[in-house]
Amino acid sequence: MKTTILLITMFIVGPLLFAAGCKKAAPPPAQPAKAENTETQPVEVAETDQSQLSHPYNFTLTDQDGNTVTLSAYTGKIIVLEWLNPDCPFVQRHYAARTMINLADKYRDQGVVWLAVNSTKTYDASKNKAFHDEHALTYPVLDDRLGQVGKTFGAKTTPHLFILDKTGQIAYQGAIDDDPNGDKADRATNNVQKALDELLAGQKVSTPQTASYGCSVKYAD
Amino acid sequence: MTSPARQTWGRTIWWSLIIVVIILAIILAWQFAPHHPIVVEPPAGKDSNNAFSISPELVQATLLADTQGITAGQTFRLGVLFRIKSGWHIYWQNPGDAGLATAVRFTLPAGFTASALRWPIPHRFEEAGDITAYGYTDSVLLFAEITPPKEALKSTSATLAAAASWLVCRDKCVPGAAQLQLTLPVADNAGAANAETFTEWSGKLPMAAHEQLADMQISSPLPANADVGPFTVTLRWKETPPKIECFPTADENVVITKFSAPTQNNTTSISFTAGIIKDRQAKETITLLVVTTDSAGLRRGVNIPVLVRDA
Repeated sequence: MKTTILLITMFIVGPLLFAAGCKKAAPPPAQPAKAENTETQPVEVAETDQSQLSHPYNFTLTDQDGNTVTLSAYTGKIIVLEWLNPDCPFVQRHYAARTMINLADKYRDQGVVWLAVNSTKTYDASKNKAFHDEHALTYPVLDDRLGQVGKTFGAKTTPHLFILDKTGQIAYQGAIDDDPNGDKADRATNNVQKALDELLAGQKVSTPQTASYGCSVKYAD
Repeated sequence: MTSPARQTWGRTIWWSLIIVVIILAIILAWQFAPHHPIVVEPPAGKDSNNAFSISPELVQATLLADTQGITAGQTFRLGVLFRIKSGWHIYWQNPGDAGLATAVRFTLPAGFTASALRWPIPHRFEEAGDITAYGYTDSVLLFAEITPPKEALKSTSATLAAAASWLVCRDKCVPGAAQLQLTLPVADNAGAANAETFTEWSGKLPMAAHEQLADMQISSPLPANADVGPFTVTLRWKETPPKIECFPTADENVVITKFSAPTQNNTTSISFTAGIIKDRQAKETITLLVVTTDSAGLRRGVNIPVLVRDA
């Protein structure tokens, strides 16, 4: 009897000691195995602007329904990354006017992928879902509350737009349009629309960078 | 058959193993606990559900003149005093990486002219994610010089109006606006008004020159056919101030990146890349506001224009 108990205990203690020795290498057991990709850092980024880099980006984030979305799944497509924060008045104004929603719908048929990213530290998938469903969005809202993807791209404001061309390089980064006050109406130039039209026509983007406007991204730490 | 001594020894081993297992389990549970940063909800303020509201409790705006009456041809100062709730800030003419510049637009009677808006030296706010903003906390007066027409004014009073708009931020941002009006009598020898306020804020404007600046070198503008390029501005100090800050300003046609301004010994080496958006105007100038703080905490600034591209 005692031998049995001793053997059972050894079979418990043995693996535990082994696991304790390997604890630093093991991923947290509470998360699915795919979570390892969340830790994947894209290619080393210099502190300065990403337009200088020649390597494509990759990341994996969770959308509002809990699905994982990996950027490399869209290799060969034009991708628009839109940083947002539902609490920011600039974002609220654009969602009331359906600026991003209309653009995403317009260019979807031409194969353009639209992904919204939320790096606000106080948001999680369920809060993203509330915003997503409230506006009946046809694109996902990705949970970047740890801020890693936002900092990799250098997202500073909400909204902040990045367009990746078919080779995965940043073709445009900056403001959605040239109307930070929202008072230009028809006279506003939509930078994203202009860049997408040029990319789809096989042309070089004439204005690859503008100063973005909006609230600051509310990063963690 | 086991002896009592062996039984006690066996029991000891048994209990020791139980204790070891429990300790290991505790250690492992602690090691495997998810290490996410603690998410803190910002306190829900009155404005949190109504971000488009005008925000009087966050910013109070008042229209002030430095004179009690208006005399034909005599320049006076007119400004909006913003009083900002503690912990919140509004933005400078260049808000920085985020935010929105505070705006003041004057509506004046016929024949009155206004100078450009005067911007007192701003402060720098650093936020997580390497985000830098420029603006004001506590209070700021944004004012202009107003010149009435030289001919005798027909009416006995003049109404001066100002439309002010701003973005006030802390952990969240709230837009705000105010329509302000002030009626002053037409008078020959009107006395001063709000002298202390105008003196205080006039003293916080950038100067034309800085007496501690020995010399400066500015790199050449871009050639006519170039849109983007590096710039350097080297400042040599007579006596290096304890703190030196640089605030760049550019209009909407220029994008400034890779800005750095380290100081070593008595030299501040400012470098940045300026990109002009295609098809905009040919001639572009940006301004570097260099602000020094002396050992007594007094801040003084000097505007350094940099020609980015000539016409």
